[in-house]
Amino acid sequence: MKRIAVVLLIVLLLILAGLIWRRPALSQEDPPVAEPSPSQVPASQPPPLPLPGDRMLTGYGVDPEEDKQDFRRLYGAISNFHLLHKGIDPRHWSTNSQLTTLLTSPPTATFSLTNPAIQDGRLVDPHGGEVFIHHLSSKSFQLRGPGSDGILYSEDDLVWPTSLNSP
Amino acid sequence: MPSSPLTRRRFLGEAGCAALSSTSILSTLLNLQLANKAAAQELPASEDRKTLVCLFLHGGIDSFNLLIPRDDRYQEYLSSRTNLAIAQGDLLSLQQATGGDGKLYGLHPATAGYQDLFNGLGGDEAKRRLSFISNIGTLVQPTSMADYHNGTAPLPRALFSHIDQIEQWQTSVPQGMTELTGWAGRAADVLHDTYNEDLLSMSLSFAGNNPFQVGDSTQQFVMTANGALTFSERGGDANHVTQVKNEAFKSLINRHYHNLMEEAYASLTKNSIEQQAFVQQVFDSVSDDFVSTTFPSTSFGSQLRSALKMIHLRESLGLRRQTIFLSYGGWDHHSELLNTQAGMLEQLAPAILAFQNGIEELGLEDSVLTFSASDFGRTLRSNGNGTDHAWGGNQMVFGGPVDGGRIHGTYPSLALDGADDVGYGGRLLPTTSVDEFFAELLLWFGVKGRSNFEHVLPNLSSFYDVAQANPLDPTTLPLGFLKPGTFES
Repeated sequence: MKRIAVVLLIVLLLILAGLIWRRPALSQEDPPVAEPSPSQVPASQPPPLPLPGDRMLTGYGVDPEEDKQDFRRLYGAISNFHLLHKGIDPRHWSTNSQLTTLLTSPPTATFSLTNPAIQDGRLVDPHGGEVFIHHLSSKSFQLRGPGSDGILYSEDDLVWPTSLNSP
Repeated sequence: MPSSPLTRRRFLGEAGCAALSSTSILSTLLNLQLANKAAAQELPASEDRKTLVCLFLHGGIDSFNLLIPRDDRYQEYLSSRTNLAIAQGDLLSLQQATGGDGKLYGLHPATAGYQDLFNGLGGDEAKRRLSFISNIGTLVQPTSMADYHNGTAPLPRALFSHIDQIEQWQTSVPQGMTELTGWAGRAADVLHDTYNEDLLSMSLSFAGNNPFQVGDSTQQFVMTANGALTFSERGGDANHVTQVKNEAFKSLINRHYHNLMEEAYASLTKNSIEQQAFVQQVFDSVSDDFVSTTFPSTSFGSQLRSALKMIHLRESLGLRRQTIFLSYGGWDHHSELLNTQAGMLEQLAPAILAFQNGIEELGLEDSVLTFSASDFGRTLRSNGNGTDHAWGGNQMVFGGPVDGGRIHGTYPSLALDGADDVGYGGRLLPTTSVDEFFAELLLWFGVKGRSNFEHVLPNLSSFYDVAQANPLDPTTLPLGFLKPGTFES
């Protein structure tokens, strides 16, 4: 019985010692977080993320040997635009100028005006020729660029998708 | 001609279908069918056979280089079309009958056959068989230029795109449909039981499956110029892989299945094969000299010749109403218009003329009506050597019931950015809707009553009230191209 009372006393003393040891930490207040003043903001913020169309067309038109690949990337970037902005009726993007306006203007902008596929407000192929948009349906389209000779519907036209039925 | 009896099994089948689909459309359809079946008992036993033929020009024909103003409006045409203009001196002159718009028109020089049909077959003005419908296109409701630009009227979905516009010409529902049915298919839904024996679909296609003839309860029967599509038998070699496959397939569909879907599939396929065999037997029973008119030896010429044969055979097939779908594609002339279109019209026009001559030879001219359709009109402005997708265009309708030699609708201003141009190079806002055109075809074909028209052409009431149609007075018809008395009210 005596032994149990000693053990209980020791346990109580230990608990009391623990409480006394933790007490200053509990009462200590966290220092207030100071708001950074404008003068403290670093001078160089990270640049804004490039628009999706710009990111997808990095290096577009640089290597003439890669024109077919570039043209497919252009198709991909426009398809991406339609994924981001669904349901735009084809009559609003049935011509090059209409589509370019949608691609570069708020609220639907996904290409910047410095995008290499935009020249003088027109969507161009990797050789700088104006692209023709052929509407197959509300959900599918074909792109045709005049290619290196600059003449649309000639042998070196860039066309994607090559089949009218499937991209 | 007695219609097939409405048996208990059939009634339960149809009612079950309506219940299963849970759509008001099928229920409405069932009511219409029942009403029409009752009306069928009162039909006269006379020969009352009619065939409506759709000639679809896939690709979007440049129809403003087909029907061209020949008067002082030619200068406007020339200014807009520049290097794509056809010389005024090369135009085939059209002599409009009284009752047209009274202006001078010419035709593309490669369409002498159309000229003959318009001015009178063989120079006989009593046989003016063809009229044009000008500036026609898909519309949801009457739409002004201000409506178009201000967004104050609903517009057809996906204008200027091939597939959507083909679909809308064939469904006549430019708002779009979740489940496609065509206006000829819906017309078949309300007419087939009334007019036809239940031997074969009244909707024959020589151009594969199409939305035009898909109905809620009726389907199309697809053929080729050589007759029905059949299993390839590959001669008499029983061990040939195709033969073995066919035999295996036949044994599968002849089995009985406990699963209702499997049983329905097997039954449908078996029925289809039996119909194919039946049609081929009837088709082969008529020799190739059933008509002496010579058709061009082209693929399209063969298609038209076989279509004529099926019209000739409609009585043997138990059909008093029949639609036929034909297609001639390749009109999407972005790259080269003048030479390519001329070459195609040189094939098309003689075949069309031969078709109508064959109809006349068989004495069927009063019971066959043919009309053209296409994806859309094309831009007036040249893109270099071709033209691009647009909207309103010109179409034709021909046959004995047509009061031919006229331009119906309103021929538009051809000025770029002019009164009818919605912009971007001469895209013309239609002034006549496809519904008005189709309604007049269907009045002739035998569709009656407002409720039937609401089912077949749901947008029609925005353009025309069928209650005003008087068969004896063409001015009461949507466009007025039918001769008086060619249909019953």
